[in-house]
Amino acid sequence: MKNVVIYDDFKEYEVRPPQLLKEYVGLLESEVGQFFPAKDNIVLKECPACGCREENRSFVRFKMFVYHECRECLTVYVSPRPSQQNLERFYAESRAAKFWEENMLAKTEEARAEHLFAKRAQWIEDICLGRQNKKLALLDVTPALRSKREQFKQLGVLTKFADRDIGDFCKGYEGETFEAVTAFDVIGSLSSPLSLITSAHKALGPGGMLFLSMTASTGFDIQVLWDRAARIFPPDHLNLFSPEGIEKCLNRQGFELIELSTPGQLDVDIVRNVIENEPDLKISPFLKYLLQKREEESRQELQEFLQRFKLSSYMRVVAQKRKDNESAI
Amino acid sequence: MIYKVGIIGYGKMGKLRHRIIATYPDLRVTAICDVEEHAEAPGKDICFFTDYRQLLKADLDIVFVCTPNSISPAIVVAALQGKKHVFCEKPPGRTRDDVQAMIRAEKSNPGLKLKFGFNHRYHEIIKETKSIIDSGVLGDILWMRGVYGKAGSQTFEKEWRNDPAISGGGILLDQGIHMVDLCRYFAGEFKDISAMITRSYWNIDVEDNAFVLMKTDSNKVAMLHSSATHWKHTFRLEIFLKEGYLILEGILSQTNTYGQGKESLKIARKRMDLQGKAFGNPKEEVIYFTQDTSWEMEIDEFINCIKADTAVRQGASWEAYETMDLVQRIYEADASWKPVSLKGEEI
Repeated sequence: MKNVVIYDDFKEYEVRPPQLLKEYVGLLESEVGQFFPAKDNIVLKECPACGCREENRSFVRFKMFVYHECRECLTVYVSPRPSQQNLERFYAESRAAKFWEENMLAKTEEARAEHLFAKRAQWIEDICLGRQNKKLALLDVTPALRSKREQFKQLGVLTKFADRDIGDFCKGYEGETFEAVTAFDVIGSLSSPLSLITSAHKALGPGGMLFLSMTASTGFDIQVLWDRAARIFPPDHLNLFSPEGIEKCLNRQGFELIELSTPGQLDVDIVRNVIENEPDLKISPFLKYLLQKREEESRQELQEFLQRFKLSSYMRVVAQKRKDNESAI
Repeated sequence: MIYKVGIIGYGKMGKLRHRIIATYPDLRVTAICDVEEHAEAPGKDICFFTDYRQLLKADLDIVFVCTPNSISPAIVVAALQGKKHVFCEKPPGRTRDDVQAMIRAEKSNPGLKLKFGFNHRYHEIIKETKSIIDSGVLGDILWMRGVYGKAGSQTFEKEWRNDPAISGGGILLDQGIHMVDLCRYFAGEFKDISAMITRSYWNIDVEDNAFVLMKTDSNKVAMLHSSATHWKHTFRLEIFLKEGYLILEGILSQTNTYGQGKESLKIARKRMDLQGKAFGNPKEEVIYFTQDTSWEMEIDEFINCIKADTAVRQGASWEAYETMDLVQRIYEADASWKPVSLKGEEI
């Protein structure tokens, strides 16, 4: 199995300017009660990754969503959680979703194009085209990527795009099989992450590839900041898989991992920003010293170390549908 | 169908192959041969021989030849004549004549498969590299620089590998042959060769260092250093292409000392700024591989070839010949290097 480390030099503020993020989270907080009434929310009795029913610790967001950490695989998940129907409504109608589209995405378009989208396209090219699979039939189910689909087309691959209804994205493509399914930063925001994986299994032919990216629960910034991790909020982050959790989950659904990497660039930068902005933050004095007082090079090397040992909070996975065409369950 | 397997030579490699074969439900090791009568008990229901000729009389479908270089060719030929499929460890004998003899036996038994253990080709890092090169995304190869080196040991001078009569050559033939094979695998056949073959440190009758410079017809150049005085175990191959570069470091091995548990492949594209000035340190991506499934994949391919009656792809006899021929031309390229005298079993 592959583990990829990528050296880059972009900063958190380039893709998530703090002021815009603050406004977005404020809007979310004001709207979650309206879109996700408690009576509609679904209680998960077990970890969505490994099925374990015990937890280590938890924290609460917006006074209503509880994040639980699975004792077995350290996946972090929200329960009770919004139904997929309410999520769809939220993303279609909320002011927060509109703000994200019109402000956050629009104003960071260039940085996202360079640091996120181009790399995703390169990633697919490296994995699929490198194997001389020149006529790749690819189904992309990443809503936020619509504006960047041109980059996929430049790959010279046959690309189709599923609509927002990612719970059952095979709708409309019945009878078709794909060689690759891509879902970037989608699985974390689904009421039922399993539905994405089973749909992908259905859509892929034997040996087909599933590309996923997501936030990892075991990443440096998440683990260090935990309940102060400002970029973790519902409903965008309902499932934060750990490397162990996502591997188990995919294996159970008939996939074999080809790559599991955490090529994140931002963990150290994120923690450092929080330390600088919140002087009273309770955090290891050593970490404070390291991140504030030592050379830039030490932070770069720490970030590389996190990637190397799969400890960054940005995780990407390539899983291949088993050729026997059967899931393990 | 259950294939009955015999293993000739039950040292480190024989035992390793046995361990892997034992994981296949349709393969059963039923006979083992080793000159050491007191070789470790290989398991019940396995006949043990000290003479390979006796083993070859047994009812077997496949024979694994894991013996020293001087006797492997004779065994391979006898096994093929005895109508067995044969897997033989590298190096394929000591000379190109050895390989030719084995190829003759193969040709006179067309239904049988013969494969040589150029195991490195099955490592993830090598497969990934080959896939990138073949995709053309980084353009054609310009040049390569490879180092494969080990440190020897206190018993190094007494090892059969350094007895020229048995081994036929030193570190280049024993370990460097993998790097030679990989250079061919990635860049094609080399025509022009310069070499310096030296015995720098160890008190042995074969070389402990080989420094090689080779060029293909299309001007791809490979520099290669094979060493037994490389005090830090090293596997490193740099491949520079028209649009970028690949740096392979570490190879997962039984000793786990050539990369400390990982193989890493560094990938970068060349970058110039708008004025055409080069970025001295382009952005790099590194892929780490931590699992070695090469042994299984190697045997997979061999068994599948037997089952489907298809040609051997990796480690085929013609490849073994080309690699051995190149090794021999490297020795011959250093006019001051005295070839070793060979003695061994008549083929």
